[in-house]
Amino acid sequence: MAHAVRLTVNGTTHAHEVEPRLLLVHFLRDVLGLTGTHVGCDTSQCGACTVLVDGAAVKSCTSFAVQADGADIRTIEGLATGEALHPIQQAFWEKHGLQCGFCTPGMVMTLVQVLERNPDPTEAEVRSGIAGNLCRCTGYENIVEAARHAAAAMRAARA
Amino acid sequence: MAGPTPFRGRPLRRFEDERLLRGEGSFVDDMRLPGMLHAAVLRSPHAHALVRSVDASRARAMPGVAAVLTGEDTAGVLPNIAAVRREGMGETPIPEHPVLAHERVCYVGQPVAIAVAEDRYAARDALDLIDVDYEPLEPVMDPRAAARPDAPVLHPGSSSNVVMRTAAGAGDVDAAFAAADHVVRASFEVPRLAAVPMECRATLAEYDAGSDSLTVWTSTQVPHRVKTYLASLLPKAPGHIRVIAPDVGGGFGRKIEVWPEEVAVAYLAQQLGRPVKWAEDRSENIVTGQGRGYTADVEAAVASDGRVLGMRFRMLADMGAYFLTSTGGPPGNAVQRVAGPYAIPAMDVECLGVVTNRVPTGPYRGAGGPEAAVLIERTMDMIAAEIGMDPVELRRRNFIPADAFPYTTATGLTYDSGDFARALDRVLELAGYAEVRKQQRTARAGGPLIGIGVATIVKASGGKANVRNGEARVEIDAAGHVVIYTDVSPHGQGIETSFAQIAADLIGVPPAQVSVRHGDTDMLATGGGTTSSRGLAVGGSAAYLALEQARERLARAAAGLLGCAPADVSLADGSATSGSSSVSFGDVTAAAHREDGALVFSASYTLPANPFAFAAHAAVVEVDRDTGDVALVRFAAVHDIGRVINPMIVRGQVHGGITQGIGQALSEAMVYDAAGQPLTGSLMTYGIPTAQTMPRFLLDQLESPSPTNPLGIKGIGELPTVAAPVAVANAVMDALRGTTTRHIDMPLLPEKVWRALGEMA
Amino acid sequence: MIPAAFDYVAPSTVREALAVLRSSAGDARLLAGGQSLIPMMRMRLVNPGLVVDLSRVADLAYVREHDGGIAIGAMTTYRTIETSLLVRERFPLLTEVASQVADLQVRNRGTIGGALAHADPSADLPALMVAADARILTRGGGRGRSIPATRFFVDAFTTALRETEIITRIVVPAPPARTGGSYQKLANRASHFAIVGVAALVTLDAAGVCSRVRIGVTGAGPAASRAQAAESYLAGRAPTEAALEAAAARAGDGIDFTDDLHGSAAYREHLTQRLAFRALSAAVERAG
Ligand SMILES: Cc1cc2nc3c(=O)[nH]c(=O)nc-3n(C[C@H](O)[C@H](O)[C@H](O)COP(=O)(O)OP(=O)(O)OC[C@H]3O[C@@H](n4cnc5c(N)ncnc54)[C@H](O)[C@@H]3O)c2cc1C
Ligand code: FES
Ligand code: FES
Repeated sequence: MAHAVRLTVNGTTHAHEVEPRLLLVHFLRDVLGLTGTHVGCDTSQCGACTVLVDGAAVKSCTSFAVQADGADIRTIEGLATGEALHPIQQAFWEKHGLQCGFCTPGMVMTLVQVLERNPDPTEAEVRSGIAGNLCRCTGYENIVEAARHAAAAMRAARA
Repeated sequence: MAGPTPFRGRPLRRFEDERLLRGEGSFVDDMRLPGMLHAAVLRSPHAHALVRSVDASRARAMPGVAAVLTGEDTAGVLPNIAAVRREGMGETPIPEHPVLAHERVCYVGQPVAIAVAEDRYAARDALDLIDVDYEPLEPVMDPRAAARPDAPVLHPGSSSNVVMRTAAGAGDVDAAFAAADHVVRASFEVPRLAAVPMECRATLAEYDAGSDSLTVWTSTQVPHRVKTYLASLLPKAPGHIRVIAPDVGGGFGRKIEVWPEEVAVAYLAQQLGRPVKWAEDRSENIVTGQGRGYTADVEAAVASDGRVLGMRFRMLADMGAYFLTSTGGPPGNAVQRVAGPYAIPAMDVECLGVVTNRVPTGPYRGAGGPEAAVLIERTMDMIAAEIGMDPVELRRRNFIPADAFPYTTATGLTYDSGDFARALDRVLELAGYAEVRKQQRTARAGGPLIGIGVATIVKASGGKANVRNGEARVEIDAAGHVVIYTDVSPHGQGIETSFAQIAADLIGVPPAQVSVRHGDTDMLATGGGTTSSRGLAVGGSAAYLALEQARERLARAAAGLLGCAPADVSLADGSATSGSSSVSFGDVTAAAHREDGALVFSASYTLPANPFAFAAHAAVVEVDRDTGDVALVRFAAVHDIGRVINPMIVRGQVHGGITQGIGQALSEAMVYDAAGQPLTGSLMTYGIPTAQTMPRFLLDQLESPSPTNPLGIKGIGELPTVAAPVAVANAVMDALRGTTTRHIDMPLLPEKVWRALGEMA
Repeated sequence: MIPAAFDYVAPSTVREALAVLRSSAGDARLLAGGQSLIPMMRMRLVNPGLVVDLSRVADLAYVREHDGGIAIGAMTTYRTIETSLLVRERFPLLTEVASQVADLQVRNRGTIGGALAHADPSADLPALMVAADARILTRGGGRGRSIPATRFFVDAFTTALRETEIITRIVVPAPPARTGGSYQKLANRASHFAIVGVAALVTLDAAGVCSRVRIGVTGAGPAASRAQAAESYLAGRAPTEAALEAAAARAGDGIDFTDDLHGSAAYREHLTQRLAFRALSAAVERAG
């Protein structure tokens, strides 16, 4: 019953035989050992498992690995460029956008998409952009701050 | 000459963050050991039932399954988890939690069996092959009914469902009521809440037979407590037990526990000789990780000028079916904290702990505080309404004055310092109290109803008994790297950064050169972990004492190098200075090392008395007349938390604490049906706040340093969660002041508010 | 939570998919975006022996012009609908509703076909589909069917679909000129699904009279439905506040209101009326 999947994760191609029921998040965590992507719920609510599949933010707990055959996946581990953090990671650090850090990878990956689609979001737009990501520590305010700070930094870098 | 700018008070970026931001954190479920097995737990689907039989033979025969442990296997082998004895647990036997249910299950979610297999998928599959024959029994669900003397008793052999009685009080309460101009009475229900740390519980255990040592990585706030319990619960106690809390994804009190699953996983690792990992699902986490759950009747005797002369509180705490280690804690806090910030001369407070067919409760952020705050702060608003006084004015008239500290309340708490009126004034300014009142008078008919509510609360930090003992050890190497070992076991509180700031101020080490190590029982002999907002007040103070010793030693070494007296040495910003000459911090540590061989400084600290922090919150809401929906339009908060080490971290704690409080006010509650089935057992039905529903917060703080500890700390972890829920509730009830409804229990869901709206006066 | 084991195929044509469905005797499930199916499978509420993934089927994801209205492929995501210029131009209310569903990640994956086939009684799109006279086109044994949305939603999680039938496209006719629309929803504070949601489309004639009124209600009862009593009351009348109120008072007629944890029947009835009033008022305003 195993199915062959071949996909690219953070630029590296992987080929594996998987059970069809293997969730993408478990493929990333248990098969590839990329444990930065977390699991925070079992009803697709929390967004801790968010990764980019072919550029689209998806909840990797709500996707089977077989569906991702041929896909290009980006996880939190693939976001920084060597020493240099991605501007969103950097902004989370500066604005104290994380406490326990458990929701953080999913939050950051979702925001990558939010800022890609809207380089200058309002506070309300950021808040609705991360409506599918739960954080129990921060009360969201610093995450929103971080997102807007990162957006400004990214705009400045492009200018 | 001005001294160097202290690191205390600076918003230093956290040292913990980079790893976490890169996805390189190490939470328990991220760990993998060679040969590791995975566990899954079969839980009771019934609130109350006899277990006639458990047949695991099909599961055991499943390929990939290494073992299935049932209550039959553990009965007589693994003892029950003993409750921590607390005041108020009298002669009545306290029902203790079995590791796995045997013969009887007493709540939905109670562990019945545990399957261990080669991977998590197989472990989960095995659960479907365990056949359990239950005979359902009538559950005891309503605490009020269960507390009556003639109620059916939940635990056979017990004489009553009331297993605990805590009380507090002083003064002549009867006289107060006899002298009262007004008597205000109200009844409350504070529902059970799920703590919902984003990381669910998880445990990994490895046993090495050669060295007879057991290592347990578990998502806990109290590694030392877990170690102590494992040593006494495991039938063949390993020679060496080490419990490690690696990265922990939030706790909020529900990881201050020794869970049956932790014991079972450790036992299985020992039995099977292979590492065993268990990571629970969110639905398991919600049905097992709960706090609060109170009902109460409150009476207040009030003079016509608004002074509260006396109060009576009769509370019932729904303890659940058994007592886990921390179940008995919150009621004792609640009975004392109902005094609030007020000088109420006579109080009579009692709380009965009642068993029901629900999961055991335990501390959830605030641990007795938020429940007490609801009772006193809602009652204050009802008193204000009854006598026609502004609730702010009523509070001012009853505050303990700023010059009365230390002040002992009628419930026996001694407050160290504070200036309540000042904090309240400031929060009113932030929230625009006067403008909102004006807006209310001129609001257009048919528009949303506007309400403003305040809450003023006091919260102790540091906990009780041995939780107030802290331990720390400081090691400094020749090159000047400082390692601080602490018994605090953080999960987001930024201890690694604030302790480094404390060290920088005391011994002059650059903060980046300090590592703070925690959450490992091999580091220190004892430890209270992270509970009761004790992190800085207790753990920080212990580190402070160890660092003071280090300072004394380094000053001596520096004096030798600089040719001056130790008293003339100043250690700051990476160097030791005397007059115009200075040497680097590294030179000093190298010199001290040459002399001593090793630089190790240990200290223990006992917090002599609890510091009390103060919060004043104000919420502004709009209530939709059509739907009853509540929109939070503004939220202001002022905290007096004593000295602040890192203001950025403090603000973060405040944001998160308020948000959890708003969740309690507007959406969160564990709802059970009459058969004892949880109806809110997943995040689909149990609603925690999202970014979209939260406002931006308006904050300020006061600093009344606490005289109780060397850092002047008061503690911030729980404070905002205590005040926020009732501030919101008071605001909503203020918006509904034109109705005949005096009170609605939280959560203030639209339908409840709509019903109240229907009762327009 | 972990789904039970199943087998998996990803056919590349509808015909192939239908063949698989027919040969697997009720044990197969179609997988679209997976945003409802996978959560149910993780909870083991649904345990198909075979999962038929439609994502590799060619030409099921599109938004196209169709007789002046729009045709949407079953596998089109909320995200595509939300950002489609054609949708925005022909039927801006669909843009609005699509952007209110769930969250960014779910909208990236969830499809219109999946949402309608799932028929969650609290889902948002069905309210608009019934109000908009949408038709659901399917293929199954023999000829395809074109099912009016009003007859598609039968009960909670139950549709007019047969086990071996696949939704291929949704056709949404363009509303007449001078039509305004609005969707009003009170969201559940946990799931963010609608406790009640009301979609209204009002067309005004030259005299400012309501010439055509469509109201779709979701969340109130077991299945999304039209509020026909309210529609026919308002049609032919000028949209005065009194008329809108009187129409809204009829919005719940015929609904068997759900009574559960998230809302009592009485509350849902009240919400249906109040949200209908708001939706109608806003729709009239926009018809302007
Ligand atoms: C966190 C979260 C929040 C949500 N919030 C909302 C909300 O606010 N409002 C709302 O309306 N919805 C909400 N949803 C539900 C979501 O909108 C739908 O579940 C989803 O879009 C269904 O589409 P899908 O493509 O994911 O379908 P799938 O999950 O793949 O399939 C759903 C069902 O439809 C069947 N099916 C799929 N495609 C076809 C087809 N072409 N022909 C026949 N049958 C088919 C499947 O077999 C399955 O039974 C939420 C979901 C999640 C996870
Ligand atoms: S783990 Fe994927 S949404 Fe929670
Ligand atoms: S930082 Fe802890 S959950 Fe978000």
